[in-house]
Amino acid sequence: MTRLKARDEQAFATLYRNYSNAFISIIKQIIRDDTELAKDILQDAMVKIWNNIGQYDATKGTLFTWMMNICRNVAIDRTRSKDFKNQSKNQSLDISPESGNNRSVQPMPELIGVKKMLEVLEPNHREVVNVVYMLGYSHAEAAEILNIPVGTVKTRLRNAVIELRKRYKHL
Amino acid sequence: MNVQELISSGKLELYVAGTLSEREMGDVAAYAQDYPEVALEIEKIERAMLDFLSPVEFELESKEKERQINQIFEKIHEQESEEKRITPLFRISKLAVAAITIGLVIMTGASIWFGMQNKNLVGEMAALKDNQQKLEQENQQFLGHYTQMQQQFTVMRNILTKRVELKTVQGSKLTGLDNYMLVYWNPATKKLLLADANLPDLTKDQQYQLWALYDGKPVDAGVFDYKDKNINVSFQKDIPNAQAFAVTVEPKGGSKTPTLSNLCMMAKL
Repeated sequence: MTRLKARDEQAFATLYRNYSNAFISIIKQIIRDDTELAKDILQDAMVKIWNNIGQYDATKGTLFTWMMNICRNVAIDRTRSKDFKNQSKNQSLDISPESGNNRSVQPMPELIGVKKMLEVLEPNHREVVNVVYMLGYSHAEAAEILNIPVGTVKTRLRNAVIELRKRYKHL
Repeated sequence: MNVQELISSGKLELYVAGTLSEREMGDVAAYAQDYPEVALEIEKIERAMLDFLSPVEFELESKEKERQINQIFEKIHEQESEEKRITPLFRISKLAVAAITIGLVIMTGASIWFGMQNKNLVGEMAALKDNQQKLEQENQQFLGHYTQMQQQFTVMRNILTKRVELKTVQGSKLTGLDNYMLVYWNPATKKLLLADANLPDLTKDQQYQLWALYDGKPVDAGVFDYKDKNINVSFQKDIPNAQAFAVTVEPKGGSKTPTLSNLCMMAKL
């Protein structure tokens, strides 16, 4: 962390090596697009992380979480840009800026890769991981979107993670 | 909430997802700092999520990662060199802005000061102009006076000029013994100058009229006012010939022939 705050390029490159796959998965799910655009968005997010690394506050969350939030925000900003909207109008009709929800991103796992990834989880867990981890909704928002009580969101998320932990222990 | 409760609550998962409120994020981070088991749990959740989100089947290849890293640093360096280029300009402009600001303040101050000065000067100038006009008028008056006096003096000092003292006529109802009048008359230039008098005041609609007598005939020499022991020292009408001078009281504006009953002053040459 000290090296990062001192703008150590090697430390920063290591960050990318460790986290890029996870962040690209999240970005892909938000923009619902392929890897090329996701990589471009991740580049912008990394530049933003580099510029703002001094503002990272460990008393407010882990570095992973902080970086993930930046990636989400950059991706969401990109979905709101004019170019993106024009581009995606031709691709899918359901991303509509006029939709009642403020965010133009809807929790619909459609992409084959991400879908596959989510398939490792049982369906109940899949939804909640998608909405909270990948799209970054708060548990209250997730409860509303999934139409389940807030407590259930927390339990399912907890169980999903336990399921994942069991799973990846074997890898 | 004890540590175990916290771990099983599902809150730590939300913490890793970064979706708790800012206060709750801080609370969990504080727990993690104080309780190693909480920190460990968070690390495990993070690890599981990281593994889940990075499935082997579509991981970026190492080569591609390095290419991306290079591109990111290109962007960062480009941005930094742009900042460097911009910074000095910005400093200059900051200085310029400061200079302009100071300049404006000084100019504004100066304008106000000059404005006030100007206002004062305008006032002073108006006063001076007034004063000058007054002086000019006075000067004109003095000049007029001087010219008149010079003319009077020219008449008086002339050797041919006669000094004529008029005295109260016997039996005059208007004047007494203490009344007198002095005129100068030059037969060569015909100038008749009224010099001094001590006469009674008249009513508003009356005036004294001076007459020259020649061969028993009165010739009008002009009217004059006398008030508050003051006579308007002035030239009367030109008189070519005279054997005597007389003064009558006439209605204002004078009469063609003297009202003999009002004859008050007289002098024979």
